[in-house]
Amino acid sequence: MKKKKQCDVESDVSLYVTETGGSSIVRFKSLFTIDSKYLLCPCGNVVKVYSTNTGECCQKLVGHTDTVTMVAHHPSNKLQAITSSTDATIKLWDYEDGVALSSLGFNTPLYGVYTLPQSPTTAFVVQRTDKQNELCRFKLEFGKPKVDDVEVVANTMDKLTDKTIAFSKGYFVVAQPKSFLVFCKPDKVKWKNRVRHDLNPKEPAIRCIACHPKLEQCVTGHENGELRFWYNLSDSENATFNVQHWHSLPALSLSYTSSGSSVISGGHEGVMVQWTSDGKQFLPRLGSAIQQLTTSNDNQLYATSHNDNSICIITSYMTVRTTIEGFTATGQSLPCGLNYDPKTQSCVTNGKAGHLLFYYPDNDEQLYNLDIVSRNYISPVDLEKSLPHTKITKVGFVVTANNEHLMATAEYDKENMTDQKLKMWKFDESYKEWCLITVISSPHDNRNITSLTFHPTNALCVTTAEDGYAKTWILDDNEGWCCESTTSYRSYASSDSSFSQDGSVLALAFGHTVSLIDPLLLDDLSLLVSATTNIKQIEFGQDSNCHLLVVATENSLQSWSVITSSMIWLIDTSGFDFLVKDPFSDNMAFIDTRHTVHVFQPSEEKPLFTQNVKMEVLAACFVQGGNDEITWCAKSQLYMISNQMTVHKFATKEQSKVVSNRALPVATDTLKTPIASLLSTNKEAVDDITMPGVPIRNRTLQEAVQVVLETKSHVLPPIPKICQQFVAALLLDGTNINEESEDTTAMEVCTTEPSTLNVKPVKTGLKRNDPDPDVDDFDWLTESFANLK
Amino acid sequence: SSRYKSTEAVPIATAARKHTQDYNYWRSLQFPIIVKEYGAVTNVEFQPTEPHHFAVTASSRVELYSKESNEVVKTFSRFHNTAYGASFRSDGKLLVAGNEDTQVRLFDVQGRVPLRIFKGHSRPVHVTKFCNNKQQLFSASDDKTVRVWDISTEQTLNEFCGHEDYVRCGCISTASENTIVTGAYDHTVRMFDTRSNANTITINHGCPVESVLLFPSGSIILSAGGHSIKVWDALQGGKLLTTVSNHHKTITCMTFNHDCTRLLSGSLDRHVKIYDVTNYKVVHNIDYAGSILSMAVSPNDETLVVGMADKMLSIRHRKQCNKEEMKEENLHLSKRKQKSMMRGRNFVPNKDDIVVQHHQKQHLAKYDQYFRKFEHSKALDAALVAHVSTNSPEITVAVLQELIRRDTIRASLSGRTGNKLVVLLKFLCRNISNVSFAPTLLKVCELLLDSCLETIENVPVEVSHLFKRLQNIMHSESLLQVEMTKLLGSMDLILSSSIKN
Repeated sequence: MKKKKQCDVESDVSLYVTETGGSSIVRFKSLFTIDSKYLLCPCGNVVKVYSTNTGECCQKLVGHTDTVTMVAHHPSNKLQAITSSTDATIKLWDYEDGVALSSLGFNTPLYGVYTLPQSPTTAFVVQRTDKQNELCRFKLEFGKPKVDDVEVVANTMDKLTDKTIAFSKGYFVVAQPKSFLVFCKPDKVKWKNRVRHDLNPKEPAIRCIACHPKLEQCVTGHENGELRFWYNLSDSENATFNVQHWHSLPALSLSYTSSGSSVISGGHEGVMVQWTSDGKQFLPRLGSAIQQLTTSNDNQLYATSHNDNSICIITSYMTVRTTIEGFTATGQSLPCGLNYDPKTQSCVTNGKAGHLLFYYPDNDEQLYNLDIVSRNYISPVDLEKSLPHTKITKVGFVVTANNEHLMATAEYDKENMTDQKLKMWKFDESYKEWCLITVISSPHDNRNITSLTFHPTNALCVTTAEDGYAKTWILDDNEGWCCESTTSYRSYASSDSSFSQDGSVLALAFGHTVSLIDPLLLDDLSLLVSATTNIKQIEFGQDSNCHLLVVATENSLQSWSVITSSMIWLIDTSGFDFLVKDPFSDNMAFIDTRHTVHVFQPSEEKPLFTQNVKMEVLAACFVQGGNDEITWCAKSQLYMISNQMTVHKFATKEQSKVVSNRALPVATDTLKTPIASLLSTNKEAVDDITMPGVPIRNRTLQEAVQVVLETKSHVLPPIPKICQQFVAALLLDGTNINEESEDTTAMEVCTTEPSTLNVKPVKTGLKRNDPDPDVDDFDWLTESFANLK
Repeated sequence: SSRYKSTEAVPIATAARKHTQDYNYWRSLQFPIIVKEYGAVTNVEFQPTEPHHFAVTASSRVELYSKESNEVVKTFSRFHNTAYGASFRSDGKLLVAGNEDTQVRLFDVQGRVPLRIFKGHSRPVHVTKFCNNKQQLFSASDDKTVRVWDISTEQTLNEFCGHEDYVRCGCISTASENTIVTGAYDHTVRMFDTRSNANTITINHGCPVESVLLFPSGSIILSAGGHSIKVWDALQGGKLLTTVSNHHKTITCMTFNHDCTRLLSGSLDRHVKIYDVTNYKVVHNIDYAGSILSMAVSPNDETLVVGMADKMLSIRHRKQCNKEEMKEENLHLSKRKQKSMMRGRNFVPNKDDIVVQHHQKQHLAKYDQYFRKFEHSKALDAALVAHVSTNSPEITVAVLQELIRRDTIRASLSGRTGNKLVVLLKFLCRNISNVSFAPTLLKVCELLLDSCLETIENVPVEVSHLFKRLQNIMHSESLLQVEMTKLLGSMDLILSSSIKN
């Protein structure tokens, strides 16, 4: 029965692992466009353009082949941006259209680009060599493949980042831990012509620096959290400073507002502080440490980039306008793995601290972050010893036979071995939110819960833990969830549980044995003694393989038949990472410690597919929606999260190209008005602005046309722009004719509206009975024209 | 998103008791009304028709109680000696009772004087019941005989002499006119046929039989005697179906609930147990103060009357209005009160109105306000004030837990002197033995001892006294743990051996 695994099974060599999303949007500084409509965020190899109104991603600037490190305004064209990347190029973009206009090559990877509005042909880049960090000046002229001459302006041993270089009108500063340099006349300055301000060696090191946009002032943020406001910078002898101290931990980022009237600062506390001449204002509890701060040109908006991969857009009144969230799975591990929620068809994993992240992997979209632990983020007192956080360790979902959507979460503070809670949730359809039904504190005596499994149809949940017990929990309508039974076997630690497809058999792994019990009657059915080493994971097969139980141990993979209680096959593996079941087919995926993915069926020991993904896979799951060109994922797709918190899947070569070049359609960020609906390409009815308590009405195209006719001509967009669509809108659409009842209501609403132009309401009664649609649609139009005259 | 999340206190988990339907049903009986009688209450029976009075036989009288007022409406006292087993006819108009003086007396419920007196028994008569045809009644006596009487002529129609000891219980089959079942102290239950004058079935119960019952179908006989109730099938010639023994003293009475789905049994061990007749499992238990001799359930289970040996009669009524109605009433009241507060809540804005959300100030508890400002020591003080720490210790524990999480527990525990330390120590003494608080409080104790270690010699007397008390509590708790572990071990031994067998 025992056979050696064949490593060189024919695998689909044509398959590639492609990244589908999940890069950090906070690693590098983001940039407001001049009109403050968009925020440009470097995110992996692309730049994402977010609307500052809605927080939606409107555009992706795709073209760089390596990490984008910085975005800068084009010195003269407001609608263009320049990016630098580690692929040793800078690129010029039209960010509204998402088109790369031009590219300029360098010799070494670039870590920053700076432009000067006052001298458009001069620009700076940051280069990094082995020993040195160099700030170089070059002539900004696109159209050539490679830049001619790069002149090193400043070099330093210390890392030059966007936090330690600040440009202003007529000068720029470069900060080092114990000193900072001021360079006047940036377009002409030489390395020699600098003014150096040194700190006493005992004084706290500089972490970040910002310049006043107009005056010769700057502010430095220090390691101990103090801010120093420096004046008289050009004089190396007589420079003065005053100290302000609020942050208790190092100040991470600083920025002047564009008018220069105030400074905003942020740090590990997660509090944004605004310093003005009369004092300071706070915006507390932004979620996690502030990494980057950006201010907009019109003095209205600030953006704070947080450690949890989110950006808050904050107004000048210190209120959070919107939050842009990247893939907010943070930290180095995903204790609860990647889970598939059957109802929303999304992937669920650990999000922000204490949150669960619901995520659509196929279009890299976040559904929401659900607060499970419900604790305030507390910054650590000491950065060396971070505060242990209670983490969500397990999560499970089920849609029961009577269509209730249930979720169970287990949370645990592993460092302190305390705060273990099992929380049972139910999705409330009327309020569209998750309601907490039951909290069970310390269900397993504060020992690590190893698995949490739901019965496939009933409100019955099984938890196993290292304390050696497997507990079943049932939902009582009156009293919530309560423990129904406790099972143990020779005080072996219980490592996993799995229900058969119909829910009639529950398999529990205790040590190196598997016990099969009837979950409803709690009778012992049989015991499979399977391995010499402890079992890591067990999983029942599906459909034609529903009688097979796949057992994974440290160094082998086995398939057992539950009916005959005998082993079907066994293969040796090179270390076990985890096993994933595909809920849509009878496939399973097994990932070993050498990062090789094996896709197999429980009935066959020969895998369907084997490939080394060459990255550490933290979690994986199958998601509905398949890839027709790959036989084993016709119904579902395997998504994997790497230790870099990026999401990957398998695709053929052609598909992988398509995926990387895909650009999202531009979403309008303007409010949805009738004119906007006419201008927009989709001619569907426009939703009214929804307000709580106000029923949503549909405005139809007819009404939109009506408004266009009634609006004064000088407020309309240029006629050539709307002419074609306007005429097209008047043409009959075959599909709309039948929706007469909907039209009626819309028109009736229209008649009650007060009209600014004193136009008589359109009479709509007569046409409603008219059976001929052709006559129908133009009656009202001619009438409107007549009324206008 | 920047809202402060207040500290969550996990409410104390009470021992999970399964509230079954039966539990809720029988729990809804109100607190008993106790009436003192003249002697031991040997029999209670409800009038089968309106107004459902109940007849209580105690000492030398039979009293008719009103279910509504719980007071005596009529007394039949024309007995020369102790009366026994007063019973109603099915139309509720006639009442019959036995007597110590061997005579059986028949009364009109409206009247006072006996209508008929049946003479013939030679020993006291304990059981009297009407037959189904309304024209006859039967009586069972200590003279070991059972007689059937004709009401109109006062003549004995049948005399059954099968029993060999006192006959103390009996019942009529509602399914057939001619069947009488009696139980006697000779350990037997006998079924007699009035047509053939014969003893058709004899069953040996094994103990003196105190009570017999027949299911309405007439085929299943229940007999109670000793500590057990036995169920017999009459159609199979008296085959034993099951034995139920849940009492630890003699069972004296049995009755069905109104629809015969539950069986109630009363015993000298002062319990009434309620069984599901489908599986004869106990579904509920009601405790009484005295040894129970008799019991009756009114139609619709509205009233449970129990007579006891210590001359007490307990009357329990079901709660009249159910909870939901009460709640609705309360809601209605509060609605009226809050009418002024609700003004404008249902306002629907116009289409063009810009809705500005009212900025609601978040209400926080005192300790949360301090937590928000990172004033941890003050937060602990706020959680230790008397009304928080005594009424809801779980909040104080949650605050301590939060301090541990924030890693500021040392700082907030140190530097406590005088009253602040006393309050904390008292709280620890009171709650450290609570299982759900113990993990947190033990940690706090440890840290507190660490911080007080240097100054422990010159603390005030009160504080050192409290430390000693805490030590004593811990000591007794550890002894208790040892005992519990021993008990658990021996229980495991018993359980595992019983599983093997």
